[in-house]
Amino acid sequence: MSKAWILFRANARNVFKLNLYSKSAPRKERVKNILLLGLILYAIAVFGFTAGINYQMMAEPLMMMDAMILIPTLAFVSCVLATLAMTLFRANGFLFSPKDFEMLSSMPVKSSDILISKMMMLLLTNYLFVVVMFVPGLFVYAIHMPTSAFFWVSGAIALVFIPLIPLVIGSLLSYLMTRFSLRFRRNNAALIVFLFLTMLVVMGFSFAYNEVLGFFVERSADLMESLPFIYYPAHLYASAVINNDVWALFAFVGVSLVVFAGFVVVLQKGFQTINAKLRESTQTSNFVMTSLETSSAFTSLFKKDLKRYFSSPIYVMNTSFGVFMMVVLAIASLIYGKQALDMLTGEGAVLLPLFELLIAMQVGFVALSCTTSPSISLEGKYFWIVRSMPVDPKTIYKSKITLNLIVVIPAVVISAVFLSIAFSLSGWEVFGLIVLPVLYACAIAVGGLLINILKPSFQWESETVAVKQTMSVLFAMLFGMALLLIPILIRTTFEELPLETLLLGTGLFVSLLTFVMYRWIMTRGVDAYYKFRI
Amino acid sequence: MLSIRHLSKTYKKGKKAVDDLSLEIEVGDICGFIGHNGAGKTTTIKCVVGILDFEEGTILIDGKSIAEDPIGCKKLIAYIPDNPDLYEALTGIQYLNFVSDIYEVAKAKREELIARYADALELTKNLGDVISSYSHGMKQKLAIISALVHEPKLLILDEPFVGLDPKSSYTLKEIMKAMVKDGKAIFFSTHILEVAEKFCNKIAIIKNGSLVASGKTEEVKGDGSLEELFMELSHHE
Repeated sequence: MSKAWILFRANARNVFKLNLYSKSAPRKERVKNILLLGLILYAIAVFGFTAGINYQMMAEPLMMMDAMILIPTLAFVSCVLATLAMTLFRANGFLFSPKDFEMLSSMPVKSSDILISKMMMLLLTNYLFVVVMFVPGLFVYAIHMPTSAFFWVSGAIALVFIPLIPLVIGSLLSYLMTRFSLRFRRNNAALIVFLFLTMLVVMGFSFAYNEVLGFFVERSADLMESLPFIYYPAHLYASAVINNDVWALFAFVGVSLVVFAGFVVVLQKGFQTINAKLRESTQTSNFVMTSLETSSAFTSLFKKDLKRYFSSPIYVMNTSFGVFMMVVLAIASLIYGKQALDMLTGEGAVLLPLFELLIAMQVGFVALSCTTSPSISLEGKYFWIVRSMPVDPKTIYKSKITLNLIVVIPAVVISAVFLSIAFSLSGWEVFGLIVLPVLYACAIAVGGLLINILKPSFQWESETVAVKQTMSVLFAMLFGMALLLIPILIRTTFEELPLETLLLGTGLFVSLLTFVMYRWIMTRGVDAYYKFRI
Repeated sequence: MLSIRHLSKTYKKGKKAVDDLSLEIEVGDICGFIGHNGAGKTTTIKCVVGILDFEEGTILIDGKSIAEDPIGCKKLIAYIPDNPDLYEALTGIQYLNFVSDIYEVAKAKREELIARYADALELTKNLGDVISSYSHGMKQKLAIISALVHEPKLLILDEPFVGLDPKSSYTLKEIMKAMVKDGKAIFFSTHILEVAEKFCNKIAIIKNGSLVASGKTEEVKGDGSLEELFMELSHHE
């Protein structure tokens, strides 16, 4: 058995926690993990279904223009973009600066084996997305067009080879981003800025998705003509499908393999050096004792939590993107007016009156910004510090809630001010734009913490797992969505209800819920603190 | 200072990690806690410092129960784990200031103690660097300083000498001696039997979760060496 395969197998078992699904795992753990897996698969299936609906919507106009080939081509390009985005965020920590680097480096395995096993892991996770984005495109095409066996064979082959090139490009970009950010003293801050900017581009693309689809349909002929210059492998695949061209398919496979293999060959030479360099840390060793600042236990814990927060780009990215978008949209509204809202909401801008739309958006962004749901889990191996200290668990909890509010509330106020200027809102409207989102922020912060107290997860392999892939984070997300549904349900049940009453009712309900949850945290949550198993 | 009475701790799968363990440590004692890997040393220590809860028994620190008044007890103790994972994003001085804030150490006092212990352990120059850049030994030294900065009455250490250079080991032993002279008590686990034999006035040996020998070092080891006694107890089922 090759070493790369042995490493891959151990890695997969570790990353996907496969042992927790086996019969030897405790029943409760097994059921929990199977349920979580089911939820993830369901979400992926919904994602695939949505992709299929989108392709289907494009099919009719494309049929009329005799440009149905655009469907599998677009599915192909979507997979390329998804792989690129996924790799950009995952390569650092997977290929570069992996946690097990030192352990693996001390073993008698070649760098190429380590690299190949890591690349295989990245590929495996990307295949999930490739399947749900590419296969629906093939089916939609097959529904409307006659297909041969070659179409399905080429589809299956494409499925395997699509992620290879974007994986290479994404890895290179990720490496460059990491190297570049290391030049800054505050390299985490630089990395956070890079990630936000990248996400902004991706989100901009998805917000304008309908326009982009329309553009694709209108300019299908031009696009197909310029495809070789945009992304040559997609052109090769499209040629293979249109002309049943085996050689084009071979060329696509060949190009993908050459690029991938070339990357592995080149990177494996410097893999050890690159990762050793990335792990280097420098000490200035020039500290001179001066006067120290004193703070209360709460302030000190809060400062610690704040530093912890900004030291983790993935934590910031996952929990601040809502507030980031909130401010970006408010600034865009200042410049472009209502056009900015139309781009984000599409139909919503037409269906809802402006003020309601603005409130819904503010509250929606707030619901995406829960820093507390992984906050207890993230203590992880460091939890011994506060656990062994004479600090009241209530103070620890308050610090975590405060962090969430500090991240969200300034953004709410800033965007409310910008929106009030952009749309000449009245004083009462600005007040509403601030108060309700702030109440939601409190509920999200307190609710997220409560969920994490109930479902802490201290044994994580990487921060990404703690921040994105725990039951607590998933439940907190569902909780945020459920909170958003409250005003919608009241609105649909009582259509004649005046807006002021609706907002007041929602505000009161959210406040009451927050109060109840807060009381729970400060009483039973404290008991739970002493029972955490770390 | 530390009174452990009939302590039992069972883990999730029913494994009894500590079984009916009783131990007394007085003011002025340096008690070495010895046992093979997995014997229950770290579990006992974690119960004492309030990191783990336990089902049976009581743990009293200066007369206060860790189960009933965890915060009151924790104010009196300091704990240093065997492999201290510290907040890596903080600088050394930020971490020490954080600990001082939590233990409410007065400004002048913390400045004096940090300067004293950082100088003694030769870490002063590195206090401005982030902890992630520290070596294992430097992290260990920082954890030691953070434990001493609030002048605990009871110092609890898990394998404190692992990772320390000889000079720092010597310094730590001198600090520990000064502490007990000053009316404090120390309880630490170790695998280095020579250290335990020469340095501790009390010894406790744990095997499979139960205490198999404890008391004054001279009485416990008798005429032989501590190593001989430990080997004998290890082989005896």
